[in-house]
Amino acid sequence: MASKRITKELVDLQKDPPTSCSAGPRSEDDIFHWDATIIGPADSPYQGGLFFVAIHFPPDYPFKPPKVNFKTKVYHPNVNSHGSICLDILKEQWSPALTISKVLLSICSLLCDPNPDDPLVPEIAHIYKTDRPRYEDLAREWTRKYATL
Amino acid sequence: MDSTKMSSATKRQQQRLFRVFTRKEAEESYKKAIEGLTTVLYCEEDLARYLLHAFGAKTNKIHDAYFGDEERTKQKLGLLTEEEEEQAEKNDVLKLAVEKKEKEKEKERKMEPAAVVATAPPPTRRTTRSVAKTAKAAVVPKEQKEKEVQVKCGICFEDFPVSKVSTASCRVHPFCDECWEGYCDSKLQEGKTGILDVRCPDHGCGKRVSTKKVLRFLGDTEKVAKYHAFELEHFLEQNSAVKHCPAAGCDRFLLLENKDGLTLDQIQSCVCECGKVFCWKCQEDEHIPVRCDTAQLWIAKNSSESENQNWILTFTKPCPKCSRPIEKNQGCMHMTCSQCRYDFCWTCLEPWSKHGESTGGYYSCNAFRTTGASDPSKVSEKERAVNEKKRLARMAIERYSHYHERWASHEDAEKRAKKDMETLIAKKLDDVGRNHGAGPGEMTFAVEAQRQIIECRKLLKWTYAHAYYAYNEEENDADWKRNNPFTQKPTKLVKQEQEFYEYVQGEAENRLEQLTRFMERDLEDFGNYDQSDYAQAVEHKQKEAEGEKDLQTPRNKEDRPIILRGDGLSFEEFKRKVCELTSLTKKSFETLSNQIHKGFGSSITNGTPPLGVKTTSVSKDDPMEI
Repeated sequence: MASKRITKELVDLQKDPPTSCSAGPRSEDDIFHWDATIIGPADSPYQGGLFFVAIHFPPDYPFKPPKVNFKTKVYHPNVNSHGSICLDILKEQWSPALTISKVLLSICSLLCDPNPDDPLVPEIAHIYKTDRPRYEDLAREWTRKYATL
Repeated sequence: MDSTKMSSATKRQQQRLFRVFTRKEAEESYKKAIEGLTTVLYCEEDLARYLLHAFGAKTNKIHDAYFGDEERTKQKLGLLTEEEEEQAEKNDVLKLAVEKKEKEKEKERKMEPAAVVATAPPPTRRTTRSVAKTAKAAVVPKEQKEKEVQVKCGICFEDFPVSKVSTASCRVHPFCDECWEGYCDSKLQEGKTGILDVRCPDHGCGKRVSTKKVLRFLGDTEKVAKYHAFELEHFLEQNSAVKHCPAAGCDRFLLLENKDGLTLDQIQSCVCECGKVFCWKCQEDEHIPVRCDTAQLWIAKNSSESENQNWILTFTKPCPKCSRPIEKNQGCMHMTCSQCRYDFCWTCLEPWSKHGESTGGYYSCNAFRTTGASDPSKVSEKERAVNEKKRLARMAIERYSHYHERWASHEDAEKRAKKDMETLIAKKLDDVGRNHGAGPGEMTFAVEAQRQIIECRKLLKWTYAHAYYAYNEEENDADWKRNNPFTQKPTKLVKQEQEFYEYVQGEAENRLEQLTRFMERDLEDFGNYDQSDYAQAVEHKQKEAEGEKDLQTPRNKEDRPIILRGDGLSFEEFKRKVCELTSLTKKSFETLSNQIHKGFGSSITNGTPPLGVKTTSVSKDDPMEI
């Protein structure tokens, strides 16, 4: 079931690729590990950055959510230094009707609109809430430093 | 908290507080609750179930919610309001798909067959890829048009004939049977909260999947049984006065009927009909007098991997060649790695070839040298850190093993005391009674004493876990914080306080040991020998004590030597001592556990001795001199 569904998602992604991201298996013989890239959204301090994301599908996918981690350092209240992402649809709000493409789009919108009230990195959330320009500067700097090829 | 009140809970007390009931009785009370709701609310059984899942057995809460705002309550439960129901009926994707198909067919019949190929692609095709949550179902007319209408499953994205897909109460999101099965399975794995509140798998839909449907897709009887077990457990759990007996294989429940003036928080120990004694609060084995969090921390520590790692760090060294950890299991310093066969010296880790006379070297590892280099300044920063780490690890492990050893040996003693109780009741009581002319009514003191021993062993065991956490250094502070971020650690106490604690603990332990000795040795003598044999042996013992020489060991009728293991007291005296010791031991342990709850610090700062503690210590020779 899992591999069939993952293959189906892959075909769909190739047929109709989303504009802001791309994804596919790391190697041909292991369909459960994917690499994805997200283009920093234009209206955010991550603009101009290219962010690498690792995706791991559990064996009971899609009944269990995929594990999604940033491989590129991101300065964001909901992404910690290990690349873990605090996103409800990757946890308790996961639904088997969701797809990787939707997950990546949600991550894009999380980049545009952080959720400082449920932070993974409280320090960044604090700066985001109290000193927005400073947050934007830092996020831009990290993007330039770590997410530019 | 008067924990001792519960610790010595007699059966009578137990009966007054708790009622034990079986699964069957519990199931019946659940059934009654459902029936009650269906009649009062005049609703379907399913709705009654959902309400019970959501609100528990609190009927007045259910009534308030349902009669207060029926629509909102239904929405919360993921059910459709009447209006929504009508709407859903009209927009039923599956019905629409069939209707559409029929219309197409109609069209085809009117038009030329060539137009068939040009049938528009399903309009919903695009939406499946976008984030939009609208209907994903799509009619996919293929060449087998005469066959059933095809609908896309929202999980596996495959097309299925309409009879093989279904929706939740939303009637908007269709999924195939196989995916429904997988979904229900995954919910069952999530446990009670998952399986008792299954919603449409579509993200954000939130409409209810009926119990009937869930049960149908769970399929096999084992899973259905699990569902019902979860349902019942959940129902009972919502009631804080009901606990499931944690004993393996026991299917009884305990209902707290009468609090006897105690708050829920104060009730610690309870006994099931199966004999299992457990903590009412955490359902672990009884751990009076320590708190649940201390007990859990201690149990976790005992089984934790980190202790093993500490052990490896402390008592093993890595092989200098292959780096596998090696434990020295024999006395000789000459080690041979079992893996790579490298010969080396345990002390200095240099090759053994440097150590023998035959090779010109000599044994010089006995002289003290700082590791690696003779000049301490040359010891690298890293090396120093490693050594410090080792030293701390060794200290921590020594401290832990001190307390753990005692904890474990009292646990062992508790088990033995329980076994002794069995033989006491099965045989010894009769033997002693027969030998010394005591009726069964006169022997209750021994049972009482043995019961006291069991209780006190259990209690004593936990006082060591308490001490481990109460009188610790920073290391354990961190340990506590990691595991209990929200509760405060038992207050850190000063050295003086630790001494006081150990004094009270020692006192209690001493009395318990005396009582145990009487019950083990003297009682055995009374059981083994009848009155005349016993008297003979006592006389012999006295003569021996007076220094008479060349005495012959007395022998019984079967010509076996009579050797007393105990003190040779008269039966009356023995009885008196045991009775007195039983009550003294009980008192000591009451003091100890009361004190643990109050905190030892308080009595030191107040300068008043804690209740029941006598300032004179117990003489080891004669327990009666108190």
